[in-house]
Amino acid sequence: MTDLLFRTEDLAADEIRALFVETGIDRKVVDVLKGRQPVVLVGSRGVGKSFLLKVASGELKANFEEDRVLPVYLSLVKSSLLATDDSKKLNAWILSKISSAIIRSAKKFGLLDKSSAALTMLAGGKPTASIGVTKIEQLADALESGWKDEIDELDLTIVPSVEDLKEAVSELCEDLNIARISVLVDEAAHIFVPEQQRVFFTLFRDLRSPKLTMNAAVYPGVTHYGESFQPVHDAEFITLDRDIWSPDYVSNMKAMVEGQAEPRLLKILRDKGENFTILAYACSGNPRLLLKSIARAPNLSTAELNSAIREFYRDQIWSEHSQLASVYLGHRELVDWGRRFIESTALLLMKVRNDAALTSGGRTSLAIWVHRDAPKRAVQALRILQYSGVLKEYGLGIKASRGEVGTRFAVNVGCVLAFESSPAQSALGIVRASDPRRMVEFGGNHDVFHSLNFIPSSQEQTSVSDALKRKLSTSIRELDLTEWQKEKLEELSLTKVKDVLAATDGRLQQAYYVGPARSRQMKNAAEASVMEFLSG
Amino acid sequence: MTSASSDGPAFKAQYQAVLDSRQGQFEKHFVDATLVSLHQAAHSRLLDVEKLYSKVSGRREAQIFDLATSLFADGLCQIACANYRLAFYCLRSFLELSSAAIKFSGHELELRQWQQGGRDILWGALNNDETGVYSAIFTSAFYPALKKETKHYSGLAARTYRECSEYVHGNPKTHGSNEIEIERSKSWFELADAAVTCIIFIFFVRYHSEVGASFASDVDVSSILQSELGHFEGLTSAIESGVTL
Repeated sequence: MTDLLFRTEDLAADEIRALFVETGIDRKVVDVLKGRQPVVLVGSRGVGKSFLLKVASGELKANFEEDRVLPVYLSLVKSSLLATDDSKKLNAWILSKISSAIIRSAKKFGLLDKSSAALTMLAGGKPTASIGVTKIEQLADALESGWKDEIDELDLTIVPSVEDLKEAVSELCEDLNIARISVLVDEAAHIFVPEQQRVFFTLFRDLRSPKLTMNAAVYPGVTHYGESFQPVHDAEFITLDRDIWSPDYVSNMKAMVEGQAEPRLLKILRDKGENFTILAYACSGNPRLLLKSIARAPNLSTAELNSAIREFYRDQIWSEHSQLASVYLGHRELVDWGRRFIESTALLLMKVRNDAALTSGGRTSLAIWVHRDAPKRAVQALRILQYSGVLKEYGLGIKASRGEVGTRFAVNVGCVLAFESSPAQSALGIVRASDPRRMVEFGGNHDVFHSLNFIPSSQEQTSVSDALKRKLSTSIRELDLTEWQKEKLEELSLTKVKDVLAATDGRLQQAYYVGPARSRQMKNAAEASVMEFLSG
Repeated sequence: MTSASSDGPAFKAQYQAVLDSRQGQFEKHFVDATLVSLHQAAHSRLLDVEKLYSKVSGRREAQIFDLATSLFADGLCQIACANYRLAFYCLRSFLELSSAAIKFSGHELELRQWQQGGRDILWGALNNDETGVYSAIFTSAFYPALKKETKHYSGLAARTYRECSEYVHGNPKTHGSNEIEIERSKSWFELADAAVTCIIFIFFVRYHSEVGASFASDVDVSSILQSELGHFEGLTSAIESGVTL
């Protein structure tokens, strides 16, 4: 069985470096992440943010003896489990996670052979010689148990303040002859928890010091930066965007798949190059979507290709989008409106236009344009569509007909192709005739926006803990796991998301029955999938 | 010529005076609450190590483990008497011999050569990036999942050995008054803890794949390993099941 790995979490550090396909944008992102300037990396699910953070971390590690920049990678994906929007707890939790991650990383580099005041400060108390579970980690774990509803009173006073943490980092750097510490935070801000976004970005700004560089990966749609963080001044924002119109786009996407492909798949890629090209365009620069669609069309035959595009980009991508509505009830109307807007309006208009263009030999369109005066709720709905990967911002302040200014969004090519009766036949014609300057335009007062007026804004408030509880009770069928993995979990009656979270290592190993190393990988995949599901 | 009485030679009194002086320090050591608590913790660490070593008692290298633990016990006696130089010497030997036993267990030829007097134990070889027991190569061979964790223990072992050696070599900062100095005693206990920490790590790395089931079936050993190594990803279940990751 070809076992393509969809998630960075499944890959070991040395595998990551081996699989890195160095496109221009990827190299630029990695270099900037390694530098002194704080960076916020923006990209939708599966576009490769985690991967690039880990590549940057791996390269800093490889050059550590020379450059003495200590990489510290951490993920805040478990923020969902806190079940809180209490800023004090979020603040304590994020600081605890950063402190713990610095300790873990310095330990792995063999730098913590002696106790020090700085280490004690970061650890929330003097750690043991083996630097086992520190007090600060215990606190972070306890906060992450918020979903269990059995959380005791926690002593948040052991968490270092921002100034203490900066001081400790500075001392640590001096003691250990480190030039600076580069913190790479993945899943930095929960998309539906504005308070977490505010707390995180306030810390992001306040923690900046000559010895500490903060970097973060976030989904598109993060908009709450708190009072002190100024997006332009306090960080460089980079949108991770693999442009389908760039000349080496297809060859780069192919190289990413080849890195993981077994000989059989390599042969298929050679023989069915054109069908691969269609899938590569369909994924719109998102490697995870590409790998998943290949898993659905393992022989890349024309029949498989047609059904993969239809099933994946007409059903799957939308069902993931619509799931957001079932969990974040306050956003339900916006989520549903977004889907209706794209499926029933934008894509239909685009198809009519593209059919005409193909008949007349004109240019086709894969983008929409929305006037800058579009209702705020529409803007919010468009953000959610970007988070799902259906839309991708492709230029702010773009002039359209009659000189009006607005935002251009590239529509996921797979979603466009899914409307074709035989994507295998028409896809390349549509894509190759496309021109980003051709857009389906939506003015500020377009009819499609009128229905949004009936959605009361109060509904957009979501209770984090209610949303979490609903998610924990959903079926593991909703998780992004293979059918085999799901069956194995069900055999052990691990049928709900919360069952997987609460299951011990041993129980999950029993489920997979494939030896500890392999089952560990499966457990990680299950947990990562649960976390991504919870994060929205 | 010195005449011997029934109480022994006359110069015996000088030695008796030294012993009495040590005895005085010994009494002082065991009334100081801080030192008693540190001593108790180190004593219990020694018992932990003895329990672990008993799991490989049938192996050829076991005699080295026995010598190592008896040296640790000697070190505990010497630290209680404020005999600092000897205490640090014993601790260093404990670390060196335990590490050597573990290295020899993976290189039986070297063990046999050592037993026949044809090879010395050298710290430089024991904590060497390529050939040592605290190297990623050693961990990769016996417990690959812990490969990335090795550096911490390598650094910890190196520091422990270096700081003990300062006493062995009589470096100026190790010169003292022959009386209890709390900070000096504390530093011994801190290094003793570090030495045991290193040894438990590589002992687990080396032997778990062979006697993991025996570790798992012994409640004491299992709980020692859990508290020492359970924080590593996946190790809780590996220790419980006895199956190496």
